[in-house]
Amino acid sequence: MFAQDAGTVKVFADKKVSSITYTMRHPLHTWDGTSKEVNSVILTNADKSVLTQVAVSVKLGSFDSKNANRDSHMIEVAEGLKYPIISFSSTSIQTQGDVLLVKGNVSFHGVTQPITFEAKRKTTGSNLEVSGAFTLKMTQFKIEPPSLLGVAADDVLKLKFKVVY
Amino acid sequence: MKKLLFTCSFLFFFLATSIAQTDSTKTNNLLQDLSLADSSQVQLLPNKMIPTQRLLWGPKGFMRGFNRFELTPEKRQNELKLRRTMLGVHQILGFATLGGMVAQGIIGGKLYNGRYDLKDTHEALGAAVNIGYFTTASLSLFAPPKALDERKGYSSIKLHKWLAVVHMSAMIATNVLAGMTEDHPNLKKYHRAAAYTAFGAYAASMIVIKF
Repeated sequence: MFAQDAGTVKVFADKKVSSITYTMRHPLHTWDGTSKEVNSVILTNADKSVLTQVAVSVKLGSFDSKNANRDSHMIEVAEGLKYPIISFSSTSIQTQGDVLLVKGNVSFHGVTQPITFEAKRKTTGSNLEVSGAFTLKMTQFKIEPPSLLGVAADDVLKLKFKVVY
Repeated sequence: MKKLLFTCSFLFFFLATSIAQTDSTKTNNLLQDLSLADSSQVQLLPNKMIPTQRLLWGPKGFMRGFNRFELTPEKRQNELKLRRTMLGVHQILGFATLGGMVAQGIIGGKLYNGRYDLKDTHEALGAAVNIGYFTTASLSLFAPPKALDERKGYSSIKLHKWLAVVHMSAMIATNVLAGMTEDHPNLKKYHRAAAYTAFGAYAASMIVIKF
């Protein structure tokens, strides 16, 4: 935890207990890929009751679907060697009880798109857990969905996240 | 009055822009903090490769001598596209070879049961299946390596590779025994058993990819 402006602190995520998982569907099967290398930081107040800013970055290569060929295929279609990082930065966070309405920008494959999603916050001791889900369309980021046996996977990537600060 | 309105509008616009810029700058600073916190390099090659891939595509592989295949992120990205093309042809040719194996199984079975007029057809089809099979295998064995290290635990692609060891061994045995059956007819049953093993493992290696 690092002190910022008066009353504002910068808190980094605990990588050991944070994760982001995508789910992708192909006519032959559906699979998940999970990254446990989530880099994230928030600006919040001392008791973490108010979030003012959040930034997240994760390496495309850190998503593990239990199949290295498939993960490599994702790196190929999303040009993960040229654009290795997927990042999110908030533009506004509205707090409604334990629900956060987060607006911001996702940068993926060198393309930045606005996004809005809901997240839930839960405080356990001194830890703040933020979890939620949202979807992205690969074609919006100029990515052609990967294909197997000549058949392309769905364009939609479903993402779930749990980040503990 | 007009001057006052103009001044107020200007001040409001200036403040709103400044606040927006401050928020944006703060978030950009946060992203910078994250990139500073994680300065690890992008992995270009897996640490482990099969010998055929290491020979061609390893850090000191034969292909690295060509300007087009220098080890840089941009050029490795192109290599991954080449890999995808080779594996795409590997899949198509693999299915065609499976079809040839099925036909060979039918003809071989008839030949085994006394239809000696099919011997030439069996041999010609055998040559075609061998060309298809070993070309399919080469496309995988010599394709540029994937971008990552193998994942821990079981996966369908690992089973696909283990089955490849079985069907390749059985294919070699089938060919060796085929050459020996002329002088040793008692080996025909072993030739047939090796061929069925090759076909079974080969078909299974395709089916497991579905999962």
